[in-house]
Amino acid sequence: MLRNRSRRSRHDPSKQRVKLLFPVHTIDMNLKKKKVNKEKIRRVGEILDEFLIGNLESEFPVGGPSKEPHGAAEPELPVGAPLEPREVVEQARADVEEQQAGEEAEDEAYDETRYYFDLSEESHVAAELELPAAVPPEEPRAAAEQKRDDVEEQQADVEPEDEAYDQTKYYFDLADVEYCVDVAITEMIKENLVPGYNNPKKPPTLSEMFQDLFGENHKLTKQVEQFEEYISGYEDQVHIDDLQEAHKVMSEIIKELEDWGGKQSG
Amino acid sequence: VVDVHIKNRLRDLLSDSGMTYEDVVDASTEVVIFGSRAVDMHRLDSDLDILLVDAKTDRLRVAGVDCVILRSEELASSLWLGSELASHIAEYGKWIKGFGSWRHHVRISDRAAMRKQARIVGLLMRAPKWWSKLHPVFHTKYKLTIRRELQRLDLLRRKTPVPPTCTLDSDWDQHRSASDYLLEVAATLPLNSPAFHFAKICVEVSNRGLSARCSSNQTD
Repeated sequence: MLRNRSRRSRHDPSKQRVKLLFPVHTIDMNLKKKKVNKEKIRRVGEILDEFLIGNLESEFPVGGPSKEPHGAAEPELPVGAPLEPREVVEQARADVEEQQAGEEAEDEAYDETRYYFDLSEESHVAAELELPAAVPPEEPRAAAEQKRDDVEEQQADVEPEDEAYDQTKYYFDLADVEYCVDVAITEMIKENLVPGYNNPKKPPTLSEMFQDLFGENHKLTKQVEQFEEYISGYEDQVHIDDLQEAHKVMSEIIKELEDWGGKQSG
Repeated sequence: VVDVHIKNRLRDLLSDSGMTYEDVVDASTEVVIFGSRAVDMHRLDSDLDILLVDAKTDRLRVAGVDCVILRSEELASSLWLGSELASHIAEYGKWIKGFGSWRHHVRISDRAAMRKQARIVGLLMRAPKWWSKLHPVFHTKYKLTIRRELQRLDLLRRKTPVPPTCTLDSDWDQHRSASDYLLEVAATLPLNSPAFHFAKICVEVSNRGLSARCSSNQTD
């Protein structure tokens, strides 16, 4: 508080300068904004990245697929000798064919996902529709029916295991998420990054700390509230989709903190 | 029936967030207040817990209000009728609007107790991994949470609706809820020895009065 006061007094315009209306107005308006230490903001971003994103990624299957491996980037310059016009056309055709094949593969993958998630009824229908086609036409009908019964029995045996597997795969214990967030907050407390939280008497939340850092209506505070909502879970469990969204929102927050810190200090 | 104070509190909180009482209450077929404010045992900073049925929105973000939104068809489901929350609201809720005919069909399910058990096991089994990385203020938070959850598990297993957190704390602080008994409850859980050791720490007699010192972390 005392520091703010002295800073304010340094910027207090003299009476002579008050006559210059525009600069004085600008200064007054700036004083209303939250004064935030850029170094500390940058450090908050680093802590969230290391302790929150890092722990979330090590505890849950989040963030992995969206991240492109560093080695996967296309070379900036063409490799090999320059191509002749005909070769260029053939190369382009080959590229298109490759791309089409890739798209088809993606389509198939999409269908699989669809059938996988829709579970019982649609999968049954799909299985029933596919089975007769798989039986050779000359095979006796009874044998075909017997085969189908066998497959259905086999499917019935497998299904309960699949359901159990799904639940474990898509719902996660809230405890892990809670600990991850609180460890990140602990690091922020340890380094005294947010004024007023060096020795808290009650456990602070991330959004409370951001409110004090940036203000209640700041975009970053709103994003942190959104993050907390995603990880709030239902019946003490959190769904993988919500975890993915939470991971995405937190990554955006960290990016903004980095940019913001960089811009401010530069 | 909800008293005027609670209605006024809701009116003020909604107004602070740019909404009117009528916007929310008229748009829902059923509105119920539950938690500590419903039993008038709240602290100054306690949230107002509210159930809205068939509200026009999926979520309501109002500072100081914790909102659960359900569709009327969900109220008839066995999942809801067997849940911890449904039994709590049926027992302690105060209706602002609607009659809550569903509450006569509430019966705490084994699933509710199993979910609570999984929650406690999750917290206890993971505690040793994270404990040293947490600020002491979070140690207090988790000790409190685990002790409260053990109390809740005991009630759910006995098919008794869970009272608001302030009542659980009051029972604990006045020694109506015994440490030894809660340890027996913990002993029924599938825990390894470090996790059970944590359970012991959480229900130590020295933790009595902790809830008064750590006023946040109210869950209902």
